[in-house]
Amino acid sequence: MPMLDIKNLTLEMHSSEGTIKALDKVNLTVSSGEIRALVGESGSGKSLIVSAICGALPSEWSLTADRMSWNGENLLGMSSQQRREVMRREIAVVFQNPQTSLDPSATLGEQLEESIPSEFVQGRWFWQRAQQRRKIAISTVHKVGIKHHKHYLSAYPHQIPSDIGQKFMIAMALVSQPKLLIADDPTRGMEPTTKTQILKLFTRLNQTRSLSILFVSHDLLAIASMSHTMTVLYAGQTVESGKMKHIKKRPLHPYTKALLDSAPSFRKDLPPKSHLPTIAGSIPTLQHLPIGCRLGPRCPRAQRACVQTPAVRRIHDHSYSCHYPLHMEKL
Amino acid sequence: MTDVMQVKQLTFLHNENKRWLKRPEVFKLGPIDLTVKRGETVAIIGENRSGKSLLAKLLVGAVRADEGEIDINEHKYLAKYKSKDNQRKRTHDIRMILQHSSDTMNPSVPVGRILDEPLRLNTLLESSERKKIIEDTLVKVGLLREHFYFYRNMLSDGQQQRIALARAIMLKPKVLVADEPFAALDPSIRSQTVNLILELQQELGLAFIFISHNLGIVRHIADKVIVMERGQIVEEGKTETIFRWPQHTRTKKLVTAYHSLVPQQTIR
Repeated sequence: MPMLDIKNLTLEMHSSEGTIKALDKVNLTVSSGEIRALVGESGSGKSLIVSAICGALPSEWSLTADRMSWNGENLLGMSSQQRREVMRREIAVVFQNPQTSLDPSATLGEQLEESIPSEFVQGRWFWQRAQQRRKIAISTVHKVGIKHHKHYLSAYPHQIPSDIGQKFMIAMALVSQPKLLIADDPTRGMEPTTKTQILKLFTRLNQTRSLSILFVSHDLLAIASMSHTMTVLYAGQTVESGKMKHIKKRPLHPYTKALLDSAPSFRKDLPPKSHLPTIAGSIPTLQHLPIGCRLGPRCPRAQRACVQTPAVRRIHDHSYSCHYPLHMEKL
Repeated sequence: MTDVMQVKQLTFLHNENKRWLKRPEVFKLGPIDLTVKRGETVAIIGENRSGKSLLAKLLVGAVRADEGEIDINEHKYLAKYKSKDNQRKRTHDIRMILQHSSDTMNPSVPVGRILDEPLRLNTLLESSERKKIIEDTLVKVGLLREHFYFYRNMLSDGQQQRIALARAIMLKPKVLVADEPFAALDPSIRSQTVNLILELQQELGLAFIFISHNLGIVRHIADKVIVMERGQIVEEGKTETIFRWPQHTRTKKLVTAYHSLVPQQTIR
């Protein structure tokens, strides 16, 4: 039973040159207790999906979906009051850039204590409640691996280094004990030791509290080590989705294969200093999207049929959209 | 193989004086000894705030060191340089790629002007000769001659990275220093850049010193790895040795963190 279920999500932006389909029929489901990775390069619309789920998109963009539901309730039909309630208690988001998404005029401690839901705070008198808020804040901060709580909780966002900021964003998301955590590139630019620490924390929370995680990133190494299922996105289209195990073993879409090949750590047999296999060109800008399959101009297997958008095909729970997938050796 | 670069006793001291009710902040880098061979790739890894970027800046001379000397091909520079002549020769020999290549380019002038600047400042060539060099370099990094007239915002991330690389190799340096050249790049662009750097290294015999958090790439392209902690080199050695038998606790931590991410079974 999927908790978050999105089917055919389409986002259209209106500009002077006509409408641009930034997201084109994106499908995404997150079941309870699973870690779903959302992989794609920058400009592929990962962060747009995250903002679409939170409802943080500008109102002049038109967002349509066949289905976009949270635990059976339609997210698009909700009143903004209900939507906020869901976002407050059940879904938590770690945004990409901690320095810009934190309030610059309040200390970290104030911000963290403010985001503790009042149900968690007991005590008859206000000082007891304040004390308890403080206690919860400190223990959460310790949990994500920030050691000097005294120093950092009384600091302002511009005073902290960015890796502490990233951890702090995670602490703020976790403090309301959500059911789903959306982490938008939480490990970007982190050193390996901190990264494993954060990934271990996620895995532990997933196992002990059965927290579902939507892990948005392009760090394949991190994704492969922790996530159960994976959705690959290219230029606003879902390319392939399925179990991590299956995709890693046998990618069906040429783009997924290129992505997996681009991480040298996955390949033990690769001699050092050899050429890495690449896919030519770079991701198209939103103004110049190719028609049909958007990978078309870069794809080594592209043929005439690729100017039509391929339909989603599935083999068990592994779905892909490609006219000439890798397991069909008919070229 | 000959040593192209030797660094001896490079030291940098950041000392904020003690003021009233303020503890003095002291950061000391080094003394650092380092040798780099021709065509060798050296990776610097370590935690944040361990002085990696500072070391890179000291090597290119963007930050003035307090003590030490750098020899390049028997040509001796005091790291605490003063004379103008020394500085010019040094900008020829050591070039740098900065982390966010797009931010390091002036958005209001075309690529040609950006690339012209190092030539104009460091050589005595005529403008037609300079243009020819620029066009040749653009072709060398896999761009077109027409990119001479492009502005920064007209180029994609990968192309901007190529421009940054072109600017670095323009003066035919002997050593190339890069501060996290792959961090801001997407996977497919990243492999393209890695390939390009490997090709250029073979072609020009560049020594390449780079900082990275991505140990997968470090393992792939580096010959030698340097591990830094709190301004000191705590371990250095061949890449395979460091990854197989790390000695220092910091190295062990980094390497085990990396290994815990890498899947144990091979993928076919």
